[in-house]
Amino acid sequence: MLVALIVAAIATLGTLDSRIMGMTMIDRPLVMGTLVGLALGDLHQGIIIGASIELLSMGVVGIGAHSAPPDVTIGTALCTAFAITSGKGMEVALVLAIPISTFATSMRYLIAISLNHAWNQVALKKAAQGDTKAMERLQRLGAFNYGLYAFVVVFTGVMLGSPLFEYLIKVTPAFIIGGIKAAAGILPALGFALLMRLTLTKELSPFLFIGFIIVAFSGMSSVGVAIVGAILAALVWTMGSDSVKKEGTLNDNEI
Amino acid sequence: MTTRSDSIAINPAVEKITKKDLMKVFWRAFMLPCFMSMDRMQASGFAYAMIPIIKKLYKSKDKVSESCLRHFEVFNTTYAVAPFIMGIATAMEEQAAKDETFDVSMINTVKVALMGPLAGIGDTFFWGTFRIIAAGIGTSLALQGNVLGPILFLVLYNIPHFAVRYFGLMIGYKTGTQSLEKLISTGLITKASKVASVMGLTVIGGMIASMVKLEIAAVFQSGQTTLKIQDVLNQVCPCLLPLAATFFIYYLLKKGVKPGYIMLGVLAFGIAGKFLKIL
Repeated sequence: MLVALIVAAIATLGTLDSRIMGMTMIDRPLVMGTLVGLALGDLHQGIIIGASIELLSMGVVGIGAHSAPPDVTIGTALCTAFAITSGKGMEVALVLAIPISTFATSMRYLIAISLNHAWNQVALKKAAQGDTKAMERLQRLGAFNYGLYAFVVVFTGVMLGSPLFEYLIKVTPAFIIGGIKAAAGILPALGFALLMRLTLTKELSPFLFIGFIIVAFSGMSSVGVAIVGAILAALVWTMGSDSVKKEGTLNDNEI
Repeated sequence: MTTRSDSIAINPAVEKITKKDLMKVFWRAFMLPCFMSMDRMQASGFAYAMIPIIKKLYKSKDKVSESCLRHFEVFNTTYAVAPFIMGIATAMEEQAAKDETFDVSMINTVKVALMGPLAGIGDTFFWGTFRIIAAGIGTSLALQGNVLGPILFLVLYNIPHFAVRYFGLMIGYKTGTQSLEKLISTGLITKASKVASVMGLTVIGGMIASMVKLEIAAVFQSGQTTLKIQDVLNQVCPCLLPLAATFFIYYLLKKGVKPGYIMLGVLAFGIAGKFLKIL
């Protein structure tokens, strides 16, 4: 009960991050897992689970007007809690994270988004009357709806899900757990592929391979790769500006 | 270009927007997406952020409601670049309050014209670059159970995040509508987002090698000699299988396969692989 309350409070904080704090990334799995781990007394495992879910949900982002990505904030809070309270089954928790997040998103539509849509119509009327006080009040209520959704879903999830999860781990044969472990190792590839769909173009693809080759052959750390990336970016910037300047002078000459 | 022309009657009673007013917008901009509707998206959040400006500039009820409704029109962009648009909108509202002949429909025209391209640029920077770099560094530490991982993740992401919010708002207000024309005409924005993608992609490439774990356990046996297939692959190029797996999934995604099915496929592959002792 206490565990459910604490985890629900953390998930509420995470959900409100993107709503009223401008999305500072507290809502990402890496931070959610860490916070749940800290609260439940197993910081170490919390960080690792958070980082693992972060990797496989790297491409799960809300971009565009009507995208409804899996709510990984809630998925991570729940799965980290399951794994830590049951004391094992980290890999199973990882694999469950995305389906649970997807389910959470549908609850989000049911609770927060539909409520806010309805109340927006009221706010529109208030705007037409120039009633700024009422508009401000409704805006804050909108945030409350999101918080309510996160709290209710996670609280119920921990209460109902924990026994189910422990049972699931007990009955699953070892080779399947091993297979899930192997799959959990591959799944970050899905996250990266989703990201690549966002940013990869033919023209820029060599940079992806540069990063890959450096790490594959030398095992350079992420900080190192980020610095190499920055240097390459600087290179592209200066080289690019040269060609722009040349084009500019050419045009001037033509005139 | 029509700038503040002095031939037209200017209303001197209108108060000047100060830095303090802009800071109110800055803080309110954080609540942009907390009250979304499905058709107008972040409109109410935009109107909410503009309320301090509207109240200061307009004293008559009619004008206030007119301006509130104006900012209640559909709006949707990357959260972090919204303050920039709010800065421009503030500058335009101030002009409209002073100058009766100002064409107020311009305000929404500019907002709508900006939100699309800025969302594209904002997503490239924030989702595709800053977050990737922060997460790449953060997760690599966190996977070893290091508390610095999540802390660095937050710090690295939020320094550019808050800088873009603050300076975006101030620059947007100061230069008004000219700011974007200037930026676009020099090609600075396209270049900047290209450079950001370069950085993001380099880090993604590195993470494919360091974070995706896929190795073959199977051993090829012929008489006395045993050959570990993974060793052969490693001699060609380490981490070849993770790279192949990533591009295969990328190909599937491009073909329109849903991520959920790919996940199930990976799961089935893992279990089958362990069962057949390939993995």
